Formats: sequence, structure tokens, C-alpha cells
Amino acid sequence: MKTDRLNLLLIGVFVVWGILLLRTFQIQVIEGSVYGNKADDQSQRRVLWKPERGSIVDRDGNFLATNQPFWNKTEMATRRLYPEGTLACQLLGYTGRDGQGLQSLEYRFDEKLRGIDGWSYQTRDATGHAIPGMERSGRAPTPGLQMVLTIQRDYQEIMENALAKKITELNADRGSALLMDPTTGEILAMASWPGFDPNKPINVKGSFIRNDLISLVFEPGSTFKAITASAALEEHSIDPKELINGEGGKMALPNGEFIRDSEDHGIMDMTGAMAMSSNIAFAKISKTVGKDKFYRYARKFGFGNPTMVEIPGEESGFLKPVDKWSDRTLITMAFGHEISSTPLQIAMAYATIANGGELVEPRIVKEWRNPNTGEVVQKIERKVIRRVISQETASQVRTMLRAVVQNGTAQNIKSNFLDFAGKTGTAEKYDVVKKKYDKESNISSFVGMVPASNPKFICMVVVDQPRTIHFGGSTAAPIFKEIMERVYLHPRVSPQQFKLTQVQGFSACEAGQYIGLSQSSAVALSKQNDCPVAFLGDGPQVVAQRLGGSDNHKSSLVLTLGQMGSRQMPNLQGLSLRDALDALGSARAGVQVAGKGWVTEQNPLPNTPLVRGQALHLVLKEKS
Amino acid sequence: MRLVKDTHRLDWSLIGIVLLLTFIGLAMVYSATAHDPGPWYKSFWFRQGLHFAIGIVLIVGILISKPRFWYNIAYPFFGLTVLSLMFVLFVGGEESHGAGRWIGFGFFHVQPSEFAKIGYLLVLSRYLSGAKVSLERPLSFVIPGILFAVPFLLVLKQPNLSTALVFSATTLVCFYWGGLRLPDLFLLLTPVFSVIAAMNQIAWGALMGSVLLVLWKRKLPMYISVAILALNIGAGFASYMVWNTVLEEHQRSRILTFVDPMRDPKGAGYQVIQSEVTIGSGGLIGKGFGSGSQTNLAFLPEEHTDFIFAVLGEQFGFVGCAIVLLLFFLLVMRAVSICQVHGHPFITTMVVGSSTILIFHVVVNVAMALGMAPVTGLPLPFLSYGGSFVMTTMILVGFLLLLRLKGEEI
Repeated sequence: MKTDRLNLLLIGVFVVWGILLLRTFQIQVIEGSVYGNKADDQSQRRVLWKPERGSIVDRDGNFLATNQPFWNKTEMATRRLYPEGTLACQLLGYTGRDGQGLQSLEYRFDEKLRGIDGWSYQTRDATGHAIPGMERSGRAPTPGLQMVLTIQRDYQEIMENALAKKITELNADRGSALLMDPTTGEILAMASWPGFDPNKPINVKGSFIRNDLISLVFEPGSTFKAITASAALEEHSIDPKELINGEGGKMALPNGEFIRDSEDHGIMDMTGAMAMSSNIAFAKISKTVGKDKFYRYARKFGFGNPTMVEIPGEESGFLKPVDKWSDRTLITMAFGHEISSTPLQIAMAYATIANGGELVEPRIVKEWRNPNTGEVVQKIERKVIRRVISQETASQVRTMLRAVVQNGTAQNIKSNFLDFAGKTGTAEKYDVVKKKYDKESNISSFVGMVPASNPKFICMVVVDQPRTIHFGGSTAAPIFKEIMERVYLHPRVSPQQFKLTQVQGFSACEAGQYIGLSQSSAVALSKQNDCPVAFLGDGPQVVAQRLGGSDNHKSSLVLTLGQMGSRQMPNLQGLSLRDALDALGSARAGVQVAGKGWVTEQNPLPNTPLVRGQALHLVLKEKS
Repeated sequence: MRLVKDTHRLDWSLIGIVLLLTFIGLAMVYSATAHDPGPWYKSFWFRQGLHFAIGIVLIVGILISKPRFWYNIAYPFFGLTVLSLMFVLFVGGEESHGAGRWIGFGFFHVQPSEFAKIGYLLVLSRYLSGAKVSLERPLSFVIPGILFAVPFLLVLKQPNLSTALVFSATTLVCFYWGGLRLPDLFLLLTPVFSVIAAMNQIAWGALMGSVLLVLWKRKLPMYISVAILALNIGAGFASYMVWNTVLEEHQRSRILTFVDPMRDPKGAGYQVIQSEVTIGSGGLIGKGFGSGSQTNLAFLPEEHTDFIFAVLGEQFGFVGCAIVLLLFFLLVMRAVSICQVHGHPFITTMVVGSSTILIFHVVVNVAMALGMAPVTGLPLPFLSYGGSFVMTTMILVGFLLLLRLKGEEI
């Protein structure tokens, strides 16, 4: 009796034990890994480490975009800083709150600039506190690459100042300019005015952000005559010496419309036609080339196709296919009608003429560097797209373009020390939305090269809606002249240093070295120099200086405050290249580096006062 | 002295099992609380060691004592524990987790509900040793019913449902041991089943069907059968009404969450989920002694008391859990073997009750840790930290040992 009852109790216990053991087996052995992952999930927190965004420097290493550290609650964070303020704003673009590139180059190359996030695992307890000493290593963040632009900051500054001054004078809507090395296709300066401050890209008008050189689509007008001339000369369809009748300045088209010249140019050869910009003569020249060949040259010069410049937002313009041409298309396209293009496309066509006949690809990025070692990771090489015309043809066209400045429509910009060649243009804007030419609008352009015999520079200037004067030669060309003369007269970056006498005195603001001064010292110096200054940003000292807009023809300086290093050569012994560059701050522009690893030698020696633009030499060696 | 002379009559294997479990328990408490700051003499493992030392002294005391002593003090001791239960309830004890369960004596605290288990076991054993309970004589339930109801209601009011359930389990097993037949046991429980089954009409109908079947087979006097039926219908109906009309939505939700904590994974279910994750993450062989991340990072709540089994499971895996469950099973086997020793009904009932209390704690605690039972806060014998509980456990072991030593005399 008692044993029976005990047995029954024992069976019960046995069953219950079996259930408990099976359940233990289930969650520990069968589902053990699931629970293991759950345990890890709640205690292991993946922490992301943000890499430093790659800086953007000009071709000489001047900083155009860098990062400024600041304390965000408990964490050290960085914020994008454009130490030059509005300089090259449309090129650089800007970044968003989380440091992501939102516009232009910052946007286009966001992936490379951003770097690669690093991560590690932190062990956290139930209350969410990280347990020190229990981090599991993951991956270190890879900093973004440094983008070296083909831009030269001083050229850029010259260009922006010239635009600001002239566009204000002309009371125009907007002006844009491009400076390029025609042989390499490197863009040396590129600006539209007005611009904006990428440090504060809030409430900026969309048009201020737009880069007109690549996004403005317009009828090139007379600047296209150089393409017509190139085609005719290359095809030998007409002898350049042949005299062409100017038809009294008025010629009927087959459909009864008339084409006109600004005046009766009489009888002229092709050079004369170019110099006086005769529509009638070029209409006759294009006829000798013929539809198909003429179309092919326009296309070979790059019209109708994007230039593939690495700046986002490029338009491709429009070149009508031959089968869509009307009776008058060949005639009017000779002087740049019934075709639309961007300023950059015209500049590339002129670069082809300037460099001896090869169409090259425009370049804005020179190379990518590893920010820690300074080592070049990727170099963007010169790229020839195709040969368009022969050396000889190019040389002949350049001679004609030189005549435009010597005794033609652009005589007003003849320089007493520079030999210019170029062409003016006036045209109506093409409305991309309405798909037609806007009769009310007016775009004045000038594209030129210097020196005419063997051009080092191509410079294209576009003035949108000048209100004081309408004629191409009178509005855009003087800006071209201003830019080119200042480039050549620049004491440091002139291509012909010490060979030119300074014809025009620098304004009060072009004297004086403000970088490195405290705000109060800068104010004192500005009073002494009689140059008004405006300050940008905060910090104990001036890290960048640049000419500001001109008020009543009196220029002013914009000084950026910050802390970018000292004006004395710091002791860099034993530092990594990155740390050395940080210690140098703004002075690092002229750094020349040899070797890899850590600084072992420096020139100048520590505590030597530094002059802006001075070359600094560092020798790096690996630690043994 | 009898004790020294009769050492061969001591159940050495039971002592061995208890010492092994005690050692494992100390190691678990040590590893669960090793990260706590403070000097070693204030640490949980050291205090737990002291509790066991006191417990061993208590066992020796029990082995020296005569069963007659316990028979005699049954009612006074029971009375004392009931008074102390009333004290914590009405005068005010120290609170822990919202339940007033403690009486403080300066440097140490006593949990009266633990000693009430002993007190109730003594009076129940004494009563059942002199009287039989049977459904044929309903009056036989009056005295044990009162003895049961008083401590049951007092701990339920604390609220300490788990200890109340310990009283219930002890009562049922001891009744059964004392001769109550299985069908009667079933019928005795049916009103409770009715309360639960009333949630679902089909379940309740099935229950009523089986009640009728058992009543018909059992052939009890008609008035008793009717009374049992009436009790069932009344309980079911009352439960249905209370559930659907009296209780507010949040109260229903609290009850459902108690039964199924997963309904509230951030609140009531948190402990269960963490316990399961802790045990499961131990895998087959565990993370190693002292390497339990769940325990060390404080994800596991109540790690050294209610969820000590999870601490074991995390560090020693399935192997460790299976060994401990095996040791507990061997303990049960020893208890069953002891129960077969011929002895006075008072002491045999006490042994059965002691075993029941121990087994019930093990089953409910482990099932809770494994997410199979509601979180009731019943500790795991020999492993969980707790002074009063360790002493109660050791007293129960002492009773088991006492039967073979001097079970015949009374």
C-alpha cells in the first residue's frame, strides 16, 4: 500500500524531471546558438567610428575644404570648414549636417571623401553602460582621401574678384568664367558670380549654387565662327586668302529671311571676316564645307556631347542631326545659331585650337592623396579624346583669332604686354524648359587664349544679361583681359615671374599679410593700409585672406578666423606627415615631402618665422 | 551518545548529495556576486557559507533530538510562526520587492514564511498521524482545513503566492500519504480547476463531465456528491462573473501576464526572457566558471536568489544543469528510500512532507528559470542565496535523516 503510493509519487517526479531535462536540452543544446546570439545582441553594441572627411586642396596644397574639430556633448566631432569662404563655392559644393556631400564635388566624390566607417564592439551592461576594457576590436576607420584639384586658388581669387567687380559694373544678372590649361585640359579656375558661402549654405538662391560653365545652355553665336573656319581650313574647302564679298551687310536666305552684319564690311578674306565677325562671310564659308562635313566637325569639336567633366550637373547642349536641318541651318550655324552649347563646350573647342588640334577632356581633379602619408593614390592623367584638326589649321585659326584682338571686334582689350587671341560672341539664351530661344535674354561671351602663338591659358567669360552694353566685345572681353593681366602680374603664381613690369598698381588691399594675426592686429593693419576688412568664422587668428567684393570701386578684404597653426615653423621632429601638416596649418600649402614615415629633417628649422607661400621641405623616414 | 553509536544508520549518501549541492550552490552564489564591491566578509558567498554552517548545526541538533520533542512542540511552534506571519502582515515587516516578508533583528533578518513551512509540516504530520481524512467523512477535513487555511491566507496576503502553493502541495501529498484516495484527491481539487476552466466553456464542460464520472464511480453519499458538484458549478460561475464583470481590463491583463509573462517582454516577461537567454547561451558545456556575460553584465535579475539555476546554466551549460538535476533526482530517490523505512506515522509523514517541500521548490524554481512556469519567486534548495531558506532546507534534510536514525520511537 505505502510502496504503491510511493511508486506513484516517484513516477510523477520522474516524469517532471524528464520534462525539465528535455527543456534544458532544448534551449541549451538545440537552440543554444540562438540564445547565444540574443545574449551577444544585448550586451555587444557595434559602435561606428566616423572617419575624417578628406580635405580638398588646390593644386598647390592650399586648403579649400577641411574639417574643424569641436565638442559635441561628450564626443569629439568635426564639422566641414571652407576656410576660403565663398572661394570656388560652386565647384566645392557643401556638406549636410551629417557631413555627407550635398552639392558639386563634395557630392560627386562623396564616397571617396567620406572614407570608410570603422567599428568596434563595446560590451554594455543591462543599464547600457559601456564596460571599459571589454571592447572587442573591429575595424579602424579609413579616413577619406584628400582631393587635389587642378584649381589654383590665386587664379580663382583673381577670377572671382574680376567677375564681382565687372558684373556689378555691368549690372548683369550673372557672370561666369573659366581658366584652363588648353594642353592638359586642367581647369585652373572656374567661377560664377554671385556665389555663396558654403560654410552657411542655408537659404541660398539656387542660381547662386549653379555652376553656369557647365549648366548654362545658350547659342554660342559668333564664337562658333572659329569652328566654321577650322572646318573650312582643314577641308581646304576655301583658300583663306580668297576674298569674300560682304554683300553690303545684308544677305537674303532662300526662305526670304535676311542675315545681317553689324555694318558693311566690304570685301574681306577669312581673317578679316573673323576680325570683323562677319556673319555673311561665314555663311558663305560654311556652304563651301557642306552640310555633312560641317556637322561632323561640330561633333568632332565636342558639340552635342557632354565634356564628361567630373562636376555634377553638366548639360550636353544640342546639335541638330543633319537630317533635321532646314535650308538655313548650314548658313546660320556658321555663326553659331541653331546650335546650343555650354560655355565649357566652347572652351574645350577653343582649347583644341589652342593646343594644336587635339580635343582633350577637361579635368577638375588632379589627384587623390592618402591623407596620412601624402602618397598619391590616384592620378588623373591627361586624356586626349581625338585629334580634330591639324597643327597647321590650328595655327592658322589662332592667327585669325589674334586679328580679332589686334584690329577687330575686341580691339578694346589689346594689352600692352600680353598677346591675346580670342573671339567675342553675343547670343540668345536657350530656355531648356520651354525648348526655345529667349528673344529677351542676352548672353555676351568671350573666349580667348594667351599667348596667341603658343597658348598657356584658355579663358572663357560669359556675362548673362548685361544691361549697360550689349555687345560681346564690350562686356565679356574686358573681364577676360582683367583676369589674364592679373594672372600674369601676380607676384607669385604668374607664369612669367619677374619678367613683367607691373603696369597697374595693386589696390590697398592687395598689400599686407594678415594670416596669422589676431583679430585686433588685423584690424590695426587694415587701418594702416586703409583697406576695410570683414571677418568670417571664429578663432584666435586669421587663417585665410582674400579680396572681397568691391564697394564703390574700393576693394575690401575678407579674413577667415580660425586656428590653423602658427606662423612660426613648428618643431615637427618625429611627427607623422599628417600630424606635421596639422601643426603647420595654413602654412602647409608649400610643403614638399620626401620619403615615408616620420619627420626626421625639416627646413626651415623650428621657430623660424614663416612667410606665406614659402617652400617647406620635410624629409620622412620609417622608424627603424 | 546515541548519535555517535548509530552513525552507521545515518544516510551517508544523502549527506553526500546535500554537501555536493551545497558546494555547487556556494560556487554559484560566489560567481553570481563576485562583481559586487565590498570586503569578503560582507559578500554573499561568505554569508551563505555561514547560513550553511548554522544549518549543519541545526541538523546535528535535530539528530540529537527525539521525535517526541517535535511532536510536542508542533502546535506551539506552529502558533509562533502564525503569530510572526501576522506580525509582518499587520504590524509591518521590512519590504522586499513590494512584499512585506521580513522581520529584522538588528544584524539579521528572518523570513517568517520560511519557518511557517516547518510549523505547518509539524502540525499537519501530528494531525495526520492520529486521524485519517476521507471524503466519506467531510468533517475530517475541518481541522486540517483550518490548520492549512490560516498560514495559507496569511502568506497569500503578503503577497507570497509561491509559499502558499508550497502549503497546498504539502497538504495534498501528505493527505495522499495519509490514505486519501486518488479520486478523492481529484475531487478535492476540482473547485480550483473549475475556477481556471471557467475561462473556456468547453474546458469547463469537460471538467464537469469528468467530475460526474468520478462521482459516479466513487459512489460517495449523495449529499457529498451534490455538494461537490454545487461547489464546482458555484466556483466556475463565480470565476466567470468575476473575470468578465468585476475585473477591470488592466487587472485581467495582470493575471494573464502572470500566467504568460511573454505577453509583456519589457516588464514581467523581462526576467523570464533573460533567464532563458542566460541558460540557452550557456550551450552544451557553458561559458566557464565566472565567465557568464549575462550574469556579470547584470542582464539576469535576482541572479543569486531566484535565478541561480540560470547562473549555473550559463557557466556550465547543459552538462552542469543535467548534473545538478541528477543530484536532485538522487536526493528524491534517497527520500523515497527513506520513506519505505518503517516508522511512526508522525515521523514518516514529516519525511514525506519534507521531501514534497524540497521537490516542489526544485520543480517550480527550475521550471520558472526555463520559462515554463510563472515567476513566483520560489528559491532553489541548496543553490539559492537566503538565510531563512537555507535553514529551512537544512531542517527538512534533518527530518529526512532523523527517520532512519530513530523513526520507530515516539
